[in-house]
Amino acid sequence: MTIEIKKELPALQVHLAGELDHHAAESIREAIDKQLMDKRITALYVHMPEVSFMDSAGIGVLLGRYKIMSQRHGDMYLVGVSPAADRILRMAAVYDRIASIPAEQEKRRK
Amino acid sequence: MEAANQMRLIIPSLSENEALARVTVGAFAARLNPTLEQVSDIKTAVSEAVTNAIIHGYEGSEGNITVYAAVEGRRLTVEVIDYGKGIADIAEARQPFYTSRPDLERSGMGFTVMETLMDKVTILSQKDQGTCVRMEKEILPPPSAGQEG
Repeated sequence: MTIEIKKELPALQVHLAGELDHHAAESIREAIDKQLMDKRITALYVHMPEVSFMDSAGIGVLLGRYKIMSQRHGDMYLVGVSPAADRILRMAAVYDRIASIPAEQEKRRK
Repeated sequence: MEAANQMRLIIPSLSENEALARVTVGAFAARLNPTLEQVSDIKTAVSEAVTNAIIHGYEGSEGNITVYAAVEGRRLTVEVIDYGKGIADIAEARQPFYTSRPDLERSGMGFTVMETLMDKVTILSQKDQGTCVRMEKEILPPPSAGQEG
């Protein structure tokens, strides 16, 4: 799993690539939370077109970050979710809480 | 029909072995000609079971995990076995969103995912003896491939 983080205040852009399992979860959580210490960040974009595998540990990471963003009345978006990740996100009804947007739509926003 | 086959993988309870376990079982199941989606289902279910063994069976301490898989006809059986603390209340552990470790930011979806992706999930567990999660899945060929076999 590789993670790339870009701060574009008030947004944080996180690009995940590879396999999002329990093994990868801890370093991703740490890397994002370190950036989220900056309370000026009110929008978290997690880009997932290159996530090739995801299990429920990945769900835990996303819902945990969603909780942090909610607490500061911020927003969180999953961008360009890969089919591999989409399946388990649906299974766990994650979209009921976290909005997902296609990759192109997010580009237009910038 | 091909002869029955089986495999056994014994690995220490390190999180980096989660990928090894799921990839190995995925490769083992390849002889059944599963679709990409079926392979993904099997790998995800194995990943959930192995992660549970590491986090809950051994609570992060070291121990061995046995991953056993067998193919008979079109049926794949996978067992993920740990020799750790066991599950006190199996019915409770199977509840969606239940987690014994909310401190670890677990989603509580592990068994639900396994049950959704596999045909049958059986949990055998005894306190301080360990846990065996047995998962079974019939790998049926996609309807369009019916003429070829």
